[in-house]
Order: sequence, then structure tokens, then C-alpha cells
Amino acid sequence: MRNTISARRLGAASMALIAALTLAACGNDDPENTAEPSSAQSADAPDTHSNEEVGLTVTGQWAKAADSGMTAAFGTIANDSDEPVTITGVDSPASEDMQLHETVTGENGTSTMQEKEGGFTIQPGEELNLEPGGNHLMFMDLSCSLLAGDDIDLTLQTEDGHGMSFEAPIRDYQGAQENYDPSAEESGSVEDGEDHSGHGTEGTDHSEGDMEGMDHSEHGGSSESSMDMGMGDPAQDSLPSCSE
Amino acid sequence: MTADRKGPGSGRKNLLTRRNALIGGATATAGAAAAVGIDTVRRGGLPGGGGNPQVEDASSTAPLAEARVGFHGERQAGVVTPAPAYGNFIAVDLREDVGRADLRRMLKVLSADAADLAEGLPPIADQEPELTEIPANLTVTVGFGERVFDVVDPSAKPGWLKPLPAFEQIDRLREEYSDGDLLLQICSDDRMTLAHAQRLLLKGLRGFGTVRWVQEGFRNASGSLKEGTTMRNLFGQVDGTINPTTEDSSMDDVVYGLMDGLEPWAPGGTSLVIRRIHMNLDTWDEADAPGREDAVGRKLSNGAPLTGEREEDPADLSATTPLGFHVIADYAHIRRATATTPQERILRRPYNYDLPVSAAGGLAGKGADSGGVSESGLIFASYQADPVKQFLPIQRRLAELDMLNMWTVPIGSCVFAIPPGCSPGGFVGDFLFEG
Ligand code: HEM
Ligand SMILES: [Cu+2]
Repeated sequence: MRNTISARRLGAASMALIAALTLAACGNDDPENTAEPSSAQSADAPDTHSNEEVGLTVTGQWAKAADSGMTAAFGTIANDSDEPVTITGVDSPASEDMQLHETVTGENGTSTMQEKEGGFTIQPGEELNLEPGGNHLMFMDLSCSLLAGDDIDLTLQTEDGHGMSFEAPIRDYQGAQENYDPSAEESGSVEDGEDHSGHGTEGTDHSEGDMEGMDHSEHGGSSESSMDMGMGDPAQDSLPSCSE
Repeated sequence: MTADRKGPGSGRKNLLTRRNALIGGATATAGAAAAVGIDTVRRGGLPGGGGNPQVEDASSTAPLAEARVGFHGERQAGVVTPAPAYGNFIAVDLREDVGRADLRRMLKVLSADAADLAEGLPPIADQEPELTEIPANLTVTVGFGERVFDVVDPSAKPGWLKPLPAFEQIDRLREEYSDGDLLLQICSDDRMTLAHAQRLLLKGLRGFGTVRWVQEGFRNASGSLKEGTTMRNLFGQVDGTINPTTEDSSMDDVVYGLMDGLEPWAPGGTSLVIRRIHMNLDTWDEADAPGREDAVGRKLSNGAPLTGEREEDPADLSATTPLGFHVIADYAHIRRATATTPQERILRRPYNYDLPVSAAGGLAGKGADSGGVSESGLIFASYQADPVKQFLPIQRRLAELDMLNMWTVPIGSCVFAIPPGCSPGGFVGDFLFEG
């Protein structure tokens, strides 16, 4: 009995997952593709039309909630084409400054993230894992809050001038603490496009206060309020939601 | 599967590898296990099995590894679903300042995570993705207290959604087991799975509220009761004989309000009353079998009514002894609980509890709601379309007269609306946001 149900349900869940991806062609000059609707919400119409165009499939994508400063997005990007694809950049309405980051282990054993020079090249049939503690898409300076339960648009730029947009669900997350670099925030250096390589050391900065949960930001769900880090003016730190 | 979700560390890949490894191991050693005999396997372990108590026996067939109950549907799972061995009930108090948009986000996350967990997939950002591998019939059922309606859609709030009236004669309610704004009922046949699912879901709720209380319950282990056997409670009674069933229309009628005289608060929705009832096993020990059977009106051996032979025999409430007394006493639990109208029925799906005690000794006295060498009772979970029409009259009668009150004390009480289930694109309660 139960097995019958679950087999059916599994199918439905898979469909939903595929449908949750918006794979639309953006930033290219092909008029046909720009005209394509990119409805992310329709649960019954998996939209994978841009596969051929860009050759990429994104799965398991998500972004870490934050109400100011820096944060990151993750997921798996597969190259379904028979050519190598190089991702050279990423855009999001939530941050003017977005970077492709890698995490490297320094001589003293600490891991540090830095901009990935030359971008990420994915060989045909291979996939790129973006995950906490590893490669990721970095929001360098949020212009609005990423709140858990909302989705954020991201667009990957490829070397050949194509773009691929998708929505990433946002979740509260206690790891991926390399996203916060007090020195960068204090000096305000994030704003003015300095070199950010080597900005921040994994797990050195964030407070334990978060473990209590229930932060005090105006918007429930963004437990990464930097208030807990004891820096800056709380009122100033919580940006309005990106979805408003 | 194209839709495999990769959590941090690409959990799913590891899961598949591990599962294959397990299956492989079982096949390789099955012959040996048969030859040596199960007893030997259990006692001594096998060469190759390693004899390591941390490693599963070669004879294990892992029947629960693939046992799933889907999350999506018109009704939420976890109500008419056969009750798994473990059931935890968690009430959450929502933050003072929580708004409509916040609750929408909260329910989206909760529903997405619950759906993944039910499928045995790691939800987004699950940091222990391997612990989702074995759903073991995991269900997550969400209930709404008044606050959810007040914030999201006051016009949809069912009239019955408020605390039950106090039952002065019997109640000794404690704050820490009563009320709440949001309910999670999480059930699974694997306590590991449940612990991880609970933590993951509560992590997702951190930004929206605080845990008010947790009630942890258990029933017989999966695989230990023969098919068709009714559970027993810690009094040793067969508990759950008279219940609506999905084999006829009674479940739909009673739980989902499809019968005349009842109305569902939303199609596919129902309600949950949880009464936490302490059972004083020390004073129960003082009662001998005839007294115990008399108190309920059923036999301890097989749950048959005192007027019958088998559990399924209907109780004859009019039968009398040669002396003219009712065979099923006037104060017997089943006489008092018997429905007096067709609507006045409930789905009972209780879990037992048995809390650890320390520095315990002696005997708990009559009327005590703790003490003795154990602290046990029932998480009495009752589902019905309308608690005021269906549950309340039964509880009123039992409060007035029920021999079981000699040994039982209600110490917690709450009422929640159970919203309908949701479709894969939606979330629990989404229909309340449409207006
Ligand atoms: C610790 C507390 C309780 C214990 C130990 C207990 C035990 C039992 C037992 C042994 C039976 C007979 C077998 C069966 O049909 O399941 C029974 C029946 C029943 N109980 Fe309880 N019960 C408790 C509390 C309650 C409460 C609080 C209610 C509702 C307000 C309730 C409602 C019923 C109903 C409706 C029946 C079936 C009556 C019939 O039609 O024969 N019980 N209970
Ligand atoms: Cu980074």
C-alpha cells in the first residue's frame, strides 16, 4: 500500500523540482530566446528549453539568508553540451557586486575564499559543485535582505556571452561563515571595488549568539542578523526584503 | 533521477553508495547466516559481519529503508496513516511581530522540507543529509493555532478553534504541555530519522518562533505486532478498538466532516485535540485484573467487551448480571465514551509516553500526577472534523463519571486546526493566502 503511494508521489516531487528551475536565456542577442516566457511558478511545465542554448543545468540551488552585507549561493551546475563551458560571472538583483568564489587552504591551514580567476570551466558531461566551504556564488554587498522562504534570481554569464537565469530558494543556514568578513565591512572597502581576494577567513568571525535563534531583526527568518556580531548600528543593518 | 537534490556535500550520492553497499553485504552473507542459524548470528556475530555492535547484523533485511508516505495530497499525511512507532508533537509560539508574509515564507520552507524528508531526500541546506536516507514512514503533519488565522486570514478561523473548557473535576493542566500557535506532528518508525527531521524542521522555524513544548511518544516497534493487532497502552489495555476506519466511509465522515450534521472547516481539513494524560501506574498496580476490566468494560487478555468473547464483538451495554447490575458498569470507560449521536465519534491515534525518572522510589499516591518509579501516560491524540461537536461531549461525560479517572490525570490540553494537504507546487495553508 504505502509503496504504491510513494512511487506515485516521488514522480510528482521530481516534476516539481525540475519546474522550480527557471532556465531562461538572458543577456544574449538571440531575439527568439529573449521572447521565451520564463515562468518559474508553473508546477506542471518543466522549463528546460535553454539547455541547448547555454548547455547548462542547475540543480539543488539555494542561497543563504542574510539581511545585509555578504552572503553566498550554492548548487550544482552540469554541462550537458559537448563543448567546455566557462562561467565568467554572475548577476543578481540583490547585489550589484557579485563574484565567483573559490575556497583555498593557506599555508597556515586556514581556508580563505577568493575570487576565482578566469571563472569556472566545466567540461562536457561534468558538473561543478558549489557548496559551503568550497566554490560559491558570492553576493559582495546586499542591497536588500534575502529572507528564508523567498527565492532570489541569479543569472550565470558564460564566456560566449550567454546568460542563464534561475531562481534559488533562500534558507537560514549556520554554516558558510566565510561569507562574513568583519574587516571588510568595518573599513567599508566592499563598496568601492577594491580587490577582495583573500577577504575573510572561514569561521573566525561569527558570533555564537545566533544559536539562540530568534534574532531581533524586523523580518523573521533572517537569523544571520549582523546585530549578533556586535558591530554597527542594528537599525541600519537590516535591509528591506528583496521580495518587497 | 534527474531531480536529485544535492545538499552540502552532495549527500544523495553518498546515500546511494551506502545503500548499495548495504544490499551487497546482505546478499553476500545471506547463505552463511542461513547455514549457521539466526541465533548464532545474534549471539556471536559472524566472520565477515565483524561482530561489531555498531554494525548492522548480516541478517538484517532493512524493511523500513524504503518505506515512504508521500507528503502531498488533498489531505495531510499522518492522520489516517497507520501510526508509526514514534510520534513527536511540537508546539511553537510564534514571535510577537510575525506578519502574514513571514508566515507564508515559514510555511513554504516547512512544506518543502517536510516533502523532501518524506521522500528520503535531504532538504535544501541539510547539514546531515545522510540522516534522511531512511524515511521509515516519516510523516510531518502541520497544525494551526488561533494566531496563524489571526495573522493570515481571520475570516477562515474555525469557530471551535480555542482551548477546551476546563474540566474542573479532573484537569491539572500544565502550561508546558498546553496550547501553542503552530503544531508539528512528526512520526516515523525510526527514531534516528525522527530526531534529525525534528531538528531540521525546528532550525527552519527559528526565525519565526520558539519551541513551546515537545511531547515524545512511542508505540510498539514496527514489525513486532502481527497484522491487524490493536496497540496496547502502558496500563496493558488493548487501546484503539473502536475507531473510524478507511475500510468504510466512517473515516471520511468523522474526521473530514463528510457526514450530515458535520462540516469540514476546509475541504480535506480536520482538527487535532491533544490531551496529555498521566497514568498512575502505582495505584493501577493496586487494582487486580477484575477491577481493571470492570473499570473499562473490556477484557485485558484480548480487549473483548465483558459481554463478548472476541475484540470485535459489539459491546452489549444493556446486558445485566443475575443480580440486575449492568455487566458493563455504569462507570465503565467504554459506556461513558460510547457515542450518543452518529456525529459524536473521534479518531484516536494516541502515543504512549514514559519519561525518565531520577532519584525515584516509593509509590505515587492517588490523584498524584507524577512520582513513583515511572512517569508514564498517554499522548491522547484525537482527530475529528469539529472538536466542539464531537470530542467535547465525550470528554464532558468522562469528566463527570469514568472509573479510569481513578488512575488518570490530564496534565496538558490543546486544540489545533489541521489544514488540508498541499500539492507539489504549493505549501500547507497556501489557500489561506489567496484572499
Ligand atoms: C489515559 C487515558 C485513557 C485510557 C487509558 C483509555 C483507554 C481506553 C480503552 C482501553 C478503551 C477500550 C478499547 C477501545 O475501544 O479502544 C477505550 C475506549 C474509548 N475511549 Fe478511552 N482512554 C483514555 C482516555 C480517553 C479520552 C480522554 C477520551 C475522549 C475524550 C476517550 C475516548 C474513548 C472512546 C470514544 C472509546 C471507544 C468507546 C466505545 O465506543 O466503545 N478515552 N479507551
Ligand atoms: Cu565568498
